[in-house]
Amino acid sequence: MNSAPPRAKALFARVAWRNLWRRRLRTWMSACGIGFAIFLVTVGMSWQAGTYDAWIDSATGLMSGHAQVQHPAYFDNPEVRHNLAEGSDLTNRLAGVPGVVAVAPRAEAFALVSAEERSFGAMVIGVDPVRDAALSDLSSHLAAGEYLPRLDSAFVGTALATNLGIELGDEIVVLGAAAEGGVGALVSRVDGLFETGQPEVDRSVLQVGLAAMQAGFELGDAVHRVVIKTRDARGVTGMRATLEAAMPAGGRLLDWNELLPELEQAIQIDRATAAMTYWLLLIVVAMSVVNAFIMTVFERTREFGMLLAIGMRPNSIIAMLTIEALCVWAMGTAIGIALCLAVVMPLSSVGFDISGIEGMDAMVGQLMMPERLYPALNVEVLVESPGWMLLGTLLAALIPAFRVRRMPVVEALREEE
Amino acid sequence: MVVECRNVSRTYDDDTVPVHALQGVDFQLGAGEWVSLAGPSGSGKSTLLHVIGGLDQPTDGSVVVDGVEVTTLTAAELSDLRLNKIGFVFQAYNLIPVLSALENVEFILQLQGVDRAERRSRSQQALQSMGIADLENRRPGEMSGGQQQRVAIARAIVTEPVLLLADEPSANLDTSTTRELLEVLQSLNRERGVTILTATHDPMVMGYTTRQVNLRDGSVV
Ligand SMILES: Nc1ncnc2c1ncn2[C@@H]1O[C@H](COP(=O)(O)OP(=O)(O)O)[C@@H](O)[C@H]1O
Ligand SMILES: [Mg+2]
Repeated sequence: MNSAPPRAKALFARVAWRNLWRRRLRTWMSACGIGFAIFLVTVGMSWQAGTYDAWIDSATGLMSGHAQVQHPAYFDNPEVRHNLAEGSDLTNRLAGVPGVVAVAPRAEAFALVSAEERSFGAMVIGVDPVRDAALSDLSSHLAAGEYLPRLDSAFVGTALATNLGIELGDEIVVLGAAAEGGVGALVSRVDGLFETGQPEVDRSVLQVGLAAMQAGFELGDAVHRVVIKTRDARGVTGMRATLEAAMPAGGRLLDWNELLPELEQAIQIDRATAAMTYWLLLIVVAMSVVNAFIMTVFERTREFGMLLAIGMRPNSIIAMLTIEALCVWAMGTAIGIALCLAVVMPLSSVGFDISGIEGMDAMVGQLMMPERLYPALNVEVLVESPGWMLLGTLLAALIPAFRVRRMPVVEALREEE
Repeated sequence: MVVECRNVSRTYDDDTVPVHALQGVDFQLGAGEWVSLAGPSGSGKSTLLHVIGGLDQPTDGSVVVDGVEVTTLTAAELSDLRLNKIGFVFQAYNLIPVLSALENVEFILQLQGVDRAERRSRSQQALQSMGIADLENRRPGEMSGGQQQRVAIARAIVTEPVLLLADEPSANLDTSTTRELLEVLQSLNRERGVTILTATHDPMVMGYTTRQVNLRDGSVV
């Protein structure tokens, strides 16, 4: 018997396409449902992407940078002796890595800070003011005075200054354990005060000049961190290999996910919460498409019976229904993406003022969110929900279509239309 | 012989009382014949047609079409048998509503994998032989019942099947349209030698066929 295997045929597509317009309203309802779901999810996802970018920017921008090189033991055990000996060499090498925007070395110690009668424990950070200002915006939170104008200047958090009872121009003494086991000490003049709004930073951090810190704590050229800012925080994981190649003396490279685990966690939690909403939405829409297809298949039982009777294979009928589903999906995706672009494109350049939204002001302070949020469009955002919707639509079409496989031809033929 | 049925029975067991739609039917159809199955409604005409056309499996007996025992074929083989060897015309809803007359005829050739140019010319020829060449761009909804049945016949014969099966093809047509349709079938049978098996309880058909087989309660009488 000469058997023609089922393959995609031009007339099948024509039948599929024209059938869509036989039930105009239903087709538009399905397409708009898919489009609306894709619109909501893509807008939601680009809002999220914008939010995370803002979180990452503000969290990494304060102090930690996108990545750091440290002594292998320093992260878990931050002792002064766990340092990187050739600080300036490492700094220069890292600065030469393509994609690196700024590099700043820091030497630091937990120390006792004293002024006249009072003393408080604080983290003393020696920085190169020019290099540090290029990747950390601590200097922009200036509350009074200047940011490290002299070699022996100190830049002190406002809360710490209040606790110590000091003002601009006062002298402070810093005492701590030096690298070689002796006593590290330095005297600085308070030339600037900062206020970040983050209590623990304002209460327990002061910055001094890197050279003064290295001299006072017997560090020589050694540093504790070399902080790196790259062109794109999200791309830093992909740069690990090139960065590590610029660290011949060894050391541990940590990216912001590791440096700020709570930030990564906040992002993951937010992502998971949103994903649940998206899934619900997509499933509800997919179910309505399933419903529409079940109706279609039931209404056309007689027609399918006739097609089976004249020798069409069930798989060919399923292929025809699949083309119908794909057309509905394509229409829905076009609608959804078009709406999304129309809404998000202007917002992604103009930004959206979130300071007025209730509840957001707390976030703005806590996570140091900017007052304007810029929703971010990217390939992932634009592809993910149409992709899932495609899967949903195909399932929606296939579930009822498989009825065709088990359809008794004779009964289908006897069915009244 | 185009069709040979021996001791064919078909029993429906799905209700509480088994329904014997066919009981021990012996039936033969030779090449070039036009046989009409006659009998009242419920006598088993459609069931016999379905069994011969490979749409339904008999409970018992043997059915040979064009030398092939159809009761042992797989679903895919039955599909191909229907596609390549049998032409079907039903009482109604024969056509794909969204395709034009010409496209409906072409559709079956596409299922057979015939290329575009040949498909087109053979389909036009088939419509022409049914006297409806001018309706090729009309969709079923834009045609009368008689015109639709002609398109259905054109589609059934365009593949040059060994057997044309028609179940109550004129049931929805008025007398003069029925007569025209029967004349078309007669010329297919006489001039082109198409073997035809129709089922009908319309006595008018008798005057056109070469032989009549009467069914009653699932048996040949
Ligand atoms: N799916 C079915 N289930 C039960 N009985 C059926 C089924 N199909 C047909 N029958 C019965 O089989 C008998 C023959 O039906 P049919 O072949 O359609 O007769 P005809 O075409 O001569 O009117 C009838 O009694 C009918 O009720
Ligand atoms: Mg019948």
